[in-house]
Amino acid sequence: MIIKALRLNHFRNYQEEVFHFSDHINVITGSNAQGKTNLLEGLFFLSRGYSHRALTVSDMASFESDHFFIQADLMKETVHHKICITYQNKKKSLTVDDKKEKSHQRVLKIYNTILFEPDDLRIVKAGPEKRRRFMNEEISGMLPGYLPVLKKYRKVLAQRNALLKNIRYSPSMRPLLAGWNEQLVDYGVKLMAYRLDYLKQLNRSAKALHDVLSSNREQLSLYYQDNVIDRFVQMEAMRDAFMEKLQTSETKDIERGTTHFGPHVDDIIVKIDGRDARKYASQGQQRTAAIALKLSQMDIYHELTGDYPVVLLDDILSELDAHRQQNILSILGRSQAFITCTDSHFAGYYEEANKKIIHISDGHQIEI
Amino acid sequence: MGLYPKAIERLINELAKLPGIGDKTAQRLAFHLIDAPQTDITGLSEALLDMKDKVRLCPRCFSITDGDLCDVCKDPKRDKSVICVVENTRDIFAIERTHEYNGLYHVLHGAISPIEGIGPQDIKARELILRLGEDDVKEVIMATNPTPEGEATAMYLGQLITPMGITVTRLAKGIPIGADVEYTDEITLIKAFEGRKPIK
Ligand SMILES: Nc1ncnc2c1ncn2[C@@H]1O[C@H](COP(=O)(O)OP(=O)(O)O)[C@@H](O)[C@H]1O
Ligand SMILES: [Mg+2]
Ligand SMILES: [Zn+2]
Repeated sequence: MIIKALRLNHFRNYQEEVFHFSDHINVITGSNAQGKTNLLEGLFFLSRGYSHRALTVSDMASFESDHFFIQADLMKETVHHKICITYQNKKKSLTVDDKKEKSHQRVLKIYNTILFEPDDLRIVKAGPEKRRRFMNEEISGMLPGYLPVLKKYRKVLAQRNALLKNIRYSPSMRPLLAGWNEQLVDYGVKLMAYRLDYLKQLNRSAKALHDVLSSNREQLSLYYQDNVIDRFVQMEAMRDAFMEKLQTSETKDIERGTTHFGPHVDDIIVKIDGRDARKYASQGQQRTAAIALKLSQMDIYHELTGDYPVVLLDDILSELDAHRQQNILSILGRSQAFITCTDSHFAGYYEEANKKIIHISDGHQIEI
Repeated sequence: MGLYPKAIERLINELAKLPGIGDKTAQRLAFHLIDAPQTDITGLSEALLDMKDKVRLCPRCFSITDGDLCDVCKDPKRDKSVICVVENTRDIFAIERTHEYNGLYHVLHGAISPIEGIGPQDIKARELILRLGEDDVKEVIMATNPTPEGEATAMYLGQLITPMGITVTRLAKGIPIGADVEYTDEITLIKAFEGRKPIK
């Protein structure tokens, strides 16, 4: 898929801008706080229906505005598509090829992005929450069925936790738990199954990529650290194991007012040469592993759909040494990429012929 | 805003309180009403007052009625051995449109939701259990919404009712997850009724 053009009306610091892009490399340059990330945010938001950094949709409307409109024109194979999101009267609405869509599921079939920002270099080093978030975001981008299950799971978990706190004061409410346990297990098992499948693919793709990045000197392996089951088992057995965990920890759960077991406390263990990279790897090794995890999404998505996603690299290159910069650029292959950098870092990044440089200054583009 | 005469401002404010009506629509409706003939205005105001005066909850099933019992409870042809439990009165009308169901109803007026502090005592759950003790009911169909709250409510009531020797069934999952009974199309609803299953 190739984004041909993007329109941003009253979106962040853009009033009415229309961008036309190169099919391959697009370099977005400019000083700090000019709107480079805002542009990538627009591209990401159109692909997923949520922003990676705005807490509410209204944050994305320009300061003087209570509405915005944003549109991408894209080519999927030989077919032209138009995706629009309008925010008006405090409501977000989506159209794909001028047809109203209730959910973002149709978009995921024609347009997907991989967003890579400096904070992602901490995927390996950071706490489990960062890795869970990574898993959630990437799987939702690949498999439209995942997000609805995740949302339901979170809802049920929040309800169960609220009930646990109530039970502490009124023990007679304890019989109500069963109804929530049942659902927590239903959605939880679905989530775990999704994640196990995904991890299998991630293991393969990230390892291959890591081989390239480390010139075959180091071996990457990933493990799903799941607090419910110890190894891959059938769904039915997973159900039983999860239910059993919930029952054995029920008293503790009530005391603390929180649910101790379930996919909401899962983690991915990243190992380099068999050792836990979070504890033992150097900063450089952790970053290389993080790059492998993130960019392997390209391959996974390709295996799944036969197409490459659009890659968004926000201030990533300046974080890396020259060798890793070159590595990343060669991994991008022929897929379309948007790469932001400040002017001072811009200097000889690209010999690439098929590129376009877009200079951003205070919400306006100046083509070079 | 302060631009309109007070009487109009008041009307706009009242209209804007209604669900699905924003400020703009409220203004449009208000100006439509200004131009409407006196008979229409009288008709509308009387309809509103009359509705409020006459409509009440049916003492048996807690659906709405303008008489003593609601039309369903009053109807001698309805099968009194089956009760279909719904969250809202509107769900009854959705189900009635299918002409598939001939039993009685029970409206809970909500679903259990610990986050919002809604427990069994806040919905018409006790009333349902009492009713089952009095009447000769053989089957209770849980037609609460397929939301986490609706499911939890159905399961909780199921736990209470099954030991009374009454079969408890749940509408089959023909209904898309997250959709409300009221908004489900008729075909799906009919399928869901046919495929209802006992709750373990
Ligand atoms: N809703 C908004 N309306 C108008 N301007 C905004 C909005 N949100 C952020 N900005 C402005 O956008 C600029 C930051 O843009 P950003 O894309 O993050 O910069 P950079 O070019 O460094 O990536 C800041 O000047 C900020 O004030
Ligand atoms: Mg930025
Ligand atoms: Zn009645």
